[in-house]
Amino acid sequence: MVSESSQIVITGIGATTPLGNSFNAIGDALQAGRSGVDWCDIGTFSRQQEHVVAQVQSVNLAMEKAVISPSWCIDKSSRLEQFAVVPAAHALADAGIQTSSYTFKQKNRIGFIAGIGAEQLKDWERDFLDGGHDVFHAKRQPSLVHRAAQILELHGPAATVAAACASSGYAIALGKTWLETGLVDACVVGGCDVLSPTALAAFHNLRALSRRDDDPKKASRPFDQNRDGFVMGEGGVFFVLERSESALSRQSKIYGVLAGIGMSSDATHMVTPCSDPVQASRAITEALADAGLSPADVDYINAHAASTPVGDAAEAGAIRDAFGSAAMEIPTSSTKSMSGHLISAAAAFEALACLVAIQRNIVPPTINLDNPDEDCLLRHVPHQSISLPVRVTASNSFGFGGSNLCLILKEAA
Amino acid sequence: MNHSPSLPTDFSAFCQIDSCATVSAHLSEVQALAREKHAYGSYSLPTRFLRHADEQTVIGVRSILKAMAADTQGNSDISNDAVIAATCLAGQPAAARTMIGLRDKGPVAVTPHIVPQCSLHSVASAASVGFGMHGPNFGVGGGIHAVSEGLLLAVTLAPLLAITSPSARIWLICTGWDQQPSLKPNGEVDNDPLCRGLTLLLKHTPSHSIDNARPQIRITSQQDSYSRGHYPADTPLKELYERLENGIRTTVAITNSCVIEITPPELSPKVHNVNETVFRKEAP
Repeated sequence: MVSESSQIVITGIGATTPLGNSFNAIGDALQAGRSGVDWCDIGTFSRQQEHVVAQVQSVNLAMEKAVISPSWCIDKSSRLEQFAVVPAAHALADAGIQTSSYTFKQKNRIGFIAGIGAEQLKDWERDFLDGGHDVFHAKRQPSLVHRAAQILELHGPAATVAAACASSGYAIALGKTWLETGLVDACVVGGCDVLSPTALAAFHNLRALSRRDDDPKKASRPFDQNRDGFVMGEGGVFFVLERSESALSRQSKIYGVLAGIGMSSDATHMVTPCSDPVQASRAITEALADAGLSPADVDYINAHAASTPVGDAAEAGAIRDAFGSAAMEIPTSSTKSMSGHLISAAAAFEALACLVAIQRNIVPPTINLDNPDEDCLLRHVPHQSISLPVRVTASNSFGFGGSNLCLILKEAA
Repeated sequence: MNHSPSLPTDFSAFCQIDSCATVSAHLSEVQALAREKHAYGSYSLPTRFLRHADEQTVIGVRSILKAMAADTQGNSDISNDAVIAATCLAGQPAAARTMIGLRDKGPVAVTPHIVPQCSLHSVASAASVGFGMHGPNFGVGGGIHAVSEGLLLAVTLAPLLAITSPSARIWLICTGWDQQPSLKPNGEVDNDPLCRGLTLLLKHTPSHSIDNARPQIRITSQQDSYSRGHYPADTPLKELYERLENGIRTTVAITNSCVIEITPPELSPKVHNVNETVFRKEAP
């Protein structure tokens, strides 16, 4: 165990998202209330020629100071691999960690946890739709996180975790436990996901996707009376976590402190969130307790709110339950109104949105929130961002299988 | 600027093993197993709960039930327990059928169950939902390192769980095929591989109270671990499963400076049928 005064801090950020590929670009989009949702052709075997989705427009290949094995060829890698390797490399470079100049022993002390919910399914699908047969004769091979660790010259422990739409949040939370137990000195954490015909069809057939196809930018409308489902997105967001004393000794830039984590399970249904808020509320309460904070200390709540009728109302109930009277005082928004739902990468993206809020002292808005649903009563921030001091944020994430997660991110002292 | 570790690199974390159970079945037997009643004591799954479940989920659930039977803390409250499921290439037959449907009949043929029931989180979620466990539930691995990833994450999660829910334990479920299913182009299965499930019921143990004679999992620093003849991190489940069944202490090298040592329970098999074996831990 590390010393009790030690904090877990974020020293590097890398992102490939529908709202941009850098902390500043994404921050600008969130602050301006700009949507990344649009019509996109996602290839053959899709339900219609174009879908309303939040697609990554380009991958930022500018790799100044980033360490990537020369044998890795981005053109020969899958989109999912690109969304893992590129932002993770950027995060390491941003943190000033150049593994090429590290000793083997030091490389052994850098871990990597990726939240990826359905890696094999995406790989099999990509191969199958290209005429391959991997899904018939599956190859036993290292998962993406191990391949990416090699590409990035990270020799510490690596793991893939999956909690459906909360996957990357679990990766971040578990990275904190690795640092707190002293298993590693730094850990790359986050998640990635890609749009795919099978996932789009499965979520559509589950009636989880918005069916609004008149104006794409209006389709994702969390907490609104007329919400009818989420808009699927894609991307990859990774952070470098370190203990505070390590970051300070390196004089590293600190984006924020990962102050608390809380995890729980509804244990009621494989798909539908529980209408009883007790377990989701417990995740929030445990995260606050882990951070040593009270509800009134929180300045901004980034809600999971994906724009589904059941999920948004259930989460609003959980926030009211966990925060009590403070719930109506704390500005709350869902950045999925702009980014779409990045599925496995969603929680990491929303942690990034919290860091934007802290760094810029703004609360990003929930765009398209024209008529807040009475069942979602909270202190909403509709349409436009607001300026106010933001020192402590809470970010909720929920996933299929009843997974609940809350991260508390706060300003570095 | 070089990263300079501020802490000594000696590290150790422990969990005691309260129960251990193994289950295996051939692919051709799994459907029938899924239809059986899944119950132990006061815990039972709803009828038809596993009707859409992936094969590894069925085997994983069976191994949990057997671990419940072997738990020396019998009938203890599991409502705050956590579930971690380390699976390797789960959901392959369902994925093949889904993709054939997508290609031949379009998106309308894609089952909505493919994501919730056949993804990496599905085994853990089924256990959490089925048995009412409210601690964290998540999937781990997906590829050939799944078992070592599961062991690592279970032991490092345990200290946090001990704070939030002191009586809670972790059900670590490892599942995988000896050989992957081989499928014909029409999605029919061409072989009958064995699917294995191993459940370890783990409890955090502070380092000062660890009893080395007791069944446990320990993560510890060990320099140059790759050259010491330990099992590699991508050791197949089959091998670890057989060593645990035989009560053989096993060390897995996670990195070149970190190993996982597994001291399994005393061998005292209680055979329920030819494929399901439970190891009852000696009472402390």
